[in-house]
Amino acid sequence: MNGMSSRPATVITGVTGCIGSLVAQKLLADSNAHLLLPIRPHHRPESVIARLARDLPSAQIAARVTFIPLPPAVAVAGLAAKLRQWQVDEFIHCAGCVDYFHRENLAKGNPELTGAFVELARMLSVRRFVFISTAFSSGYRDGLVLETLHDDTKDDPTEYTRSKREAEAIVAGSGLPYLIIRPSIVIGDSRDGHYSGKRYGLYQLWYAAEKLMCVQYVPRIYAIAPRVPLQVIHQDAFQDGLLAACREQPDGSIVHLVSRAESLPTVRDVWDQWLLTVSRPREIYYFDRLADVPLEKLSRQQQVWVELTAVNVDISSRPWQFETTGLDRLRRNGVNFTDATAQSILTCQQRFITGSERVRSFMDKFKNERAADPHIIEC
Amino acid sequence: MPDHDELLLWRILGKLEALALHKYESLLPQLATPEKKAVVSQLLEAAPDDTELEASALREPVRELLAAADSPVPTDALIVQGFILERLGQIIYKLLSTHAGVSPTTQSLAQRGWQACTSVIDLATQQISRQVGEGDRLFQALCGAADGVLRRLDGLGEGVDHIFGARFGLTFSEVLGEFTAELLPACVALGVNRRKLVCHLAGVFMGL
Repeated sequence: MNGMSSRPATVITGVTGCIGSLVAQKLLADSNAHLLLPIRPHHRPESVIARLARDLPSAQIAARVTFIPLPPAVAVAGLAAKLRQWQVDEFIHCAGCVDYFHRENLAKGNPELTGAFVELARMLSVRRFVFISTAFSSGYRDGLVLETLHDDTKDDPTEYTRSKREAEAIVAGSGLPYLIIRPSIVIGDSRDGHYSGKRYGLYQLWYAAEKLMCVQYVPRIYAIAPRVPLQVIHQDAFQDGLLAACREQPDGSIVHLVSRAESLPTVRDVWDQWLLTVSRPREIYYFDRLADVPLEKLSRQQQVWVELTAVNVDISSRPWQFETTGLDRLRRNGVNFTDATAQSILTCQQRFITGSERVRSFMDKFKNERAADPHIIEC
Repeated sequence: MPDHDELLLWRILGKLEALALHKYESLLPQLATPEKKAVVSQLLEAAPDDTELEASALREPVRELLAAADSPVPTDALIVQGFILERLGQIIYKLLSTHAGVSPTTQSLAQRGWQACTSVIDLATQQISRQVGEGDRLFQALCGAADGVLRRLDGLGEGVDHIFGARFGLTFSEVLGEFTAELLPACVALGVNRRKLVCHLAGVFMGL
């Protein structure tokens, strides 16, 4: 503990989750900051260190981080005394709740917890409070989604987006210097497909296909596959964009971290890649919208499959247009931000397939049944 | 006579049904119907111990499911047991009751099990409407009470497919499909928003 106040430290919340661990990995690899990591008592520091040890050895990480037992939100301010032992320079608040419609959990995990950490940061007079929000915090609205705070809307994809918008307002209204980062949906690493997150979006889709469509050969598959860009970014792009934004963006900035629209694969591309690589049914029926599907003609299993998978891409497949002034500036200054493409998503899909015994067994077991040239029916 | 696989399935159903009956008798006596008691009694008598289950890949997933379903709160029990797991049991019994590859004893038991589940579901649905409410209130209650159990169902998938898939045609995807197809309209009839529920179920079933 000697000399701990001689160098600046950064508090990162949510390090046991996907986004928090990506942020911590990046700071460990590309900065000298000492990291203060609040974690709930049921998490083991060794497990967290093991998760962070992607670019650096565990022993090196252990010397660079200090775990802080995280109390309930109402008692977070009580951490001030302990944290004053360090020269806390910055907060990067990644913790949050992603229960799309569970209002109670969302209220606790997003606005309430954010408010508690903002208060703690204020008590410590930190230089800046960085908040990881979401590109979809605007809710559904027409036109360009600006890199400004959003006013309220009655049309949110989920309660989650509303709660993130509320949390953004708390940060911006705190009086602290702030930076709000709004990533789209984070997927695996563009280089090798490695993914450290939960099964959201694309991964939920692949997992559903693995669980539901890799038991028996299914000769006819229905899918909602509009030709609209799927709003995803690779986790390495998120890390690079975040670090660059932290270093270069002025206080009070809001930055969308999104892939270039022209590079993004469409929802249809993603379905093509899975169905033509893995499932290979004899017939594929593609629809643009769930409302177009004649559900009454489908078996119950197919009905459920179509509905469950349709919601996975619902948010990300709207025709979103994001202002990218902040990211464009970072790109001009040389940040290496790898856009998601159909090819890079194929890398992630291949990683998923390689890691799934069930999918590989399915492909092997039904190699004679799987159609060489599935007939695609546009509906 | 029921064979080894049938007895394993009986044991799993017996443990789940016994827990449900215990919850009904202690918290929701109106759901402890004579039909349910008779089915539980027959299941436990025919498959009285855990030897087969303990030796199978389903041991841990079943233990976790039972633990998640063991809430002392009456409304949780009403939702989890009366609305969710009864529906799951109903589907499994329905599949078995018409399956040509199972013994007549299992077919007969499954027929009685299906009837008992159907009666309890009707009673529970009425109680839910009265005690919990409808619409978004019910949706929030469902999320709070049932998520743990629904997530544990995911853990049964591999074992169910491996052990019962070929023997009974009882695959996780079929059971999940039938279960969801039953649950969705039942919730919508109680005013729950279908899109919200589908979105939520996609998350909990797919292991979030």
